[in-house]
Amino acid sequence: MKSLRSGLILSLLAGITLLLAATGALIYFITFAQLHSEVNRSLAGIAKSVAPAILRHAERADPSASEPVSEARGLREADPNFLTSLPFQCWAPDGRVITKSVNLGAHVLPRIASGLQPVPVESFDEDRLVFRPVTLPDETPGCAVGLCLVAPAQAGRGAGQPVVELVVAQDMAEVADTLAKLRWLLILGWALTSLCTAGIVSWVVNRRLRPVDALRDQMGRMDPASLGQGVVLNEPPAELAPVVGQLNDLLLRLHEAFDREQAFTSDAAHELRTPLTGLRSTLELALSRERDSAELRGAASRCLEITLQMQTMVESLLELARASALQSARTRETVSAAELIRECWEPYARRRERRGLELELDVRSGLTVTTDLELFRHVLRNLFENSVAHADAGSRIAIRARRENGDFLLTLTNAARSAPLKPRKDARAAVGHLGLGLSLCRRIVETLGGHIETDAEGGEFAVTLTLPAGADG
Amino acid sequence: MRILVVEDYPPVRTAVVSALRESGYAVDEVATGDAGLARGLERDYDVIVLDLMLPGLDGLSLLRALRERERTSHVLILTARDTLEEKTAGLDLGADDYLVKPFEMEELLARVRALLRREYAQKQPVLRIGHLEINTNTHGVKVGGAPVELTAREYVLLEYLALRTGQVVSRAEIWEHIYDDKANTSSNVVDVYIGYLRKKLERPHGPRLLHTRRGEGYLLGPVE
Repeated sequence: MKSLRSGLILSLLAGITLLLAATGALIYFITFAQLHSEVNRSLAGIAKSVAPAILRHAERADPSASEPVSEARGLREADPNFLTSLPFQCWAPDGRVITKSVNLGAHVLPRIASGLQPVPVESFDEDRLVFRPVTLPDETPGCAVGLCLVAPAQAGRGAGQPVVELVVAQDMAEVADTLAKLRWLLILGWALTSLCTAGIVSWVVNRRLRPVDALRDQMGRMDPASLGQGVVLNEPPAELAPVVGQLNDLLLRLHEAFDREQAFTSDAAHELRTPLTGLRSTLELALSRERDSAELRGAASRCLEITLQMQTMVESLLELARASALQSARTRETVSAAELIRECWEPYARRRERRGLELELDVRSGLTVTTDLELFRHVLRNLFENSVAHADAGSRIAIRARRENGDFLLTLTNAARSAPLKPRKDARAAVGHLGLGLSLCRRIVETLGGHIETDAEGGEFAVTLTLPAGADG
Repeated sequence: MRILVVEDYPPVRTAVVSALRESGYAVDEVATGDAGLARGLERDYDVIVLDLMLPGLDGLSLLRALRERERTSHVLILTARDTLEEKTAGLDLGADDYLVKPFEMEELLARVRALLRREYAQKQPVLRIGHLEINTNTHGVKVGGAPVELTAREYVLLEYLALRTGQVVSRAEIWEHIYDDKANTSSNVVDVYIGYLRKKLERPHGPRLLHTRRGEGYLLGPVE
């Protein structure tokens, strides 16, 4: 997995190091160019100052002399230091060496001005010079300037003025040494700066990533109980604030889901405890002393009834588990609401008659409902069973289904004066014992996208089930 | 001893009521909190066995209402909830004991007996009055070390008088604490049962244990 921290540090370090290297190189090349430019200017100046003397010497030189004149008087007069320090060499246009400096010895400078247009010495122009690196007799690097001169016109002298090609060289060892030192200085500086930069970048990145570290630490310490507290960062950076906000929203939803899950599991466990107590108590009582067969039969009958209730509860739990697991794969069907209600009511018809309950059904014939019918039947049966069991004997149960703003609404009302009811969160207390009761119905209807509301006032208990337009198709 | 059972789940209510009745207690039963409150205000029960999750008025509200009206009946809470918060909530409101479902019937009976002893400031399970010995745990009765067979109703009457030994107990009090709504009784039933007890507990020409105070009631124990 790529690390944001390493990525940031390496990227910044690479960028800054490259920038430093480029800056160093730029400094080096500017200095290099500057120094060479100065050397060239210096050479040009020298060439300019000695050119007249060399030209005069060339005019006096015997064209037929086989050996070049090395110590012309005129040259010594022009610049004695020049003669002893700078290597130079002169050629006639035909390639004959007119003169050269003593310090060249047998060494020959390159003839670099042969292609140049000869210019009169009085109109010496730096643009008419050519520069080239050379190797001096002592194998040190040097720089040479070449120029092609023509003697000024003299009275009584016709054409055929002497043309001289001159090359003057200069030792570049000092410049090379300076550049080498600069090079090393820049490399050393680059290395040290890179090291410091690595430290600074690492520190800055780590400091700036502290909120991320804090986020990671808090997430690491989080458990289901502390999900609701969310993540708290002191002054989170602007980039992280929306992430923390979204994360806290998610954690809150998770916390609520955990709570619901826990509450439901707890409800389910407690709901099972009650019939279990009934079962155990009935059996313990039956076995506590000698009983006649009628008493034992009565106890067995009660135990069977409780067992069937527990079976219904377990089936309800499995139903809900199925509903949650297959939430995405649920199949929806559209049926007539009246037919579905009548079908679900059928198992309780005889019980209703026995208790003298009157049923009032108010469902329009054309009303349809689209949902997972298996789950929806489960909800309706639970509600109907509850109303038949807990409505006051001889009272009326009213079932009304309608569509309101596109939503499917089913309201079940029954009188419950013998057990005055209050709307409470406690599902079982609100509807009595009906398996997992309203708690389960609520969960199933929520799974179907709807909700259930209960109301108990004036001795009347009402359940309203709503399936939103989107949920019921 | 008169006990009220407030439990909405019929199988549990039936089993608890039957077990208590078979132990000789007078038991009234109701299925809702409101009915339980009405009964609890109507008379001072020795013990109220109270479920917390009831339709209508819940168990804790019922308990609070009873205590606010200064009813001192001992209350044994029965509930499927067993968290510390729920236990402390019940006890803080004035419950005397707490039993989590599912429970063993013997344990429930033992706790009821303990509450009854507490009701009559009796810490020992064995009551001794002269040569009479009553074990409230086993319901065993001995006279001079010899066991005596008593019916459940006779035992409860004897235990009630023994718990109030030295006091004159009126017929009305006996009626109130020994017989429940379902008892098919005649007006002289108390006198009849006192007669049964005398026959079983007192020896001919021996010292009398059960004394009649004309116009007042009965007294168990030696009279100075």
